[in-house]
Amino acid sequence: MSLEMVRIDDRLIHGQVVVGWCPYLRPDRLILCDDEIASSEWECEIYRDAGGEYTTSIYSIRSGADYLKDSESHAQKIFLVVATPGVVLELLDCGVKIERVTVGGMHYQAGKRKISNYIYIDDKDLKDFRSLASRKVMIEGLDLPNCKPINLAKRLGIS
Amino acid sequence: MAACLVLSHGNIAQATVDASRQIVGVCDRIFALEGREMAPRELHQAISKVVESHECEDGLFILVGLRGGSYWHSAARIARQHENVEVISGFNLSMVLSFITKADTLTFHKLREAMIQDAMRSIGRFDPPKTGEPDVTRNGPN
Repeated sequence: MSLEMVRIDDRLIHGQVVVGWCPYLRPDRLILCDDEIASSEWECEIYRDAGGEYTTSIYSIRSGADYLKDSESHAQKIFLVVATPGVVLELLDCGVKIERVTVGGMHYQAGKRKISNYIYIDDKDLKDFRSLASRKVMIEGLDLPNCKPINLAKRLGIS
Repeated sequence: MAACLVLSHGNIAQATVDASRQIVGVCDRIFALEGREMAPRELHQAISKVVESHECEDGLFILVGLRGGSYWHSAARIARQHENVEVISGFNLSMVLSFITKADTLTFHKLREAMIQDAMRSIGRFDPPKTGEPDVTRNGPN
């Protein structure tokens, strides 16, 4: 298995992911890890539909971690999408090997401050990014393949 | 009569509604919401506000451009909460014109089918004879 991309995006599977990134990455499987969505059959159906022509699997964080670890010896390209940096930390805690995360969308909500046009964070997010950096995970901001990446760790002062 | 909300990134939704007015005149049952990048919750609230501010007892169509896109996600959640709201993706000008011209004569479900059929019928390649070739479509083979 190769984790072609681990994307943090609060919209999860949507246009930028399916139309913007998938033709570029050409993943064998699009995986969404989210406990709330995985617990709702209706939500799972929505996100599987959103994956369009790409094989899409929805997992809880723990089940997703098990799948990703079991798939390490398989020759498949995986595009993993999660909503927050906290989910990436949980996957690391479960033993999944993640070396890089790409932040594609953390949008404005009350209490969040602007880092870029598509990245807003609060203290919890900063703490989680700091933990990721301390575990040698590279952190970049990049919404679409043809855009200029942001060295997010440097911008957050945690590199 | 049913109502219709058109959603899109950028200004496609409003531009499509404006274009329809140039062709068939003003229709007070169709409206547009233009988008910027929003968090899913914020987008859901924005669409809900529009849905709740219009009378939709006879049904509401929410038209979105991209199936699986963020507007589609939010619209699907709203449709799940309201029995008389339906989401149709892949809207185009023909679909909007179909709604405007047929909304007062068809039931909600027949209107839905007509809008989809009219939108699909409008997509196609026009292949006229090239200069110098006989126009078999107009005159027949001989």
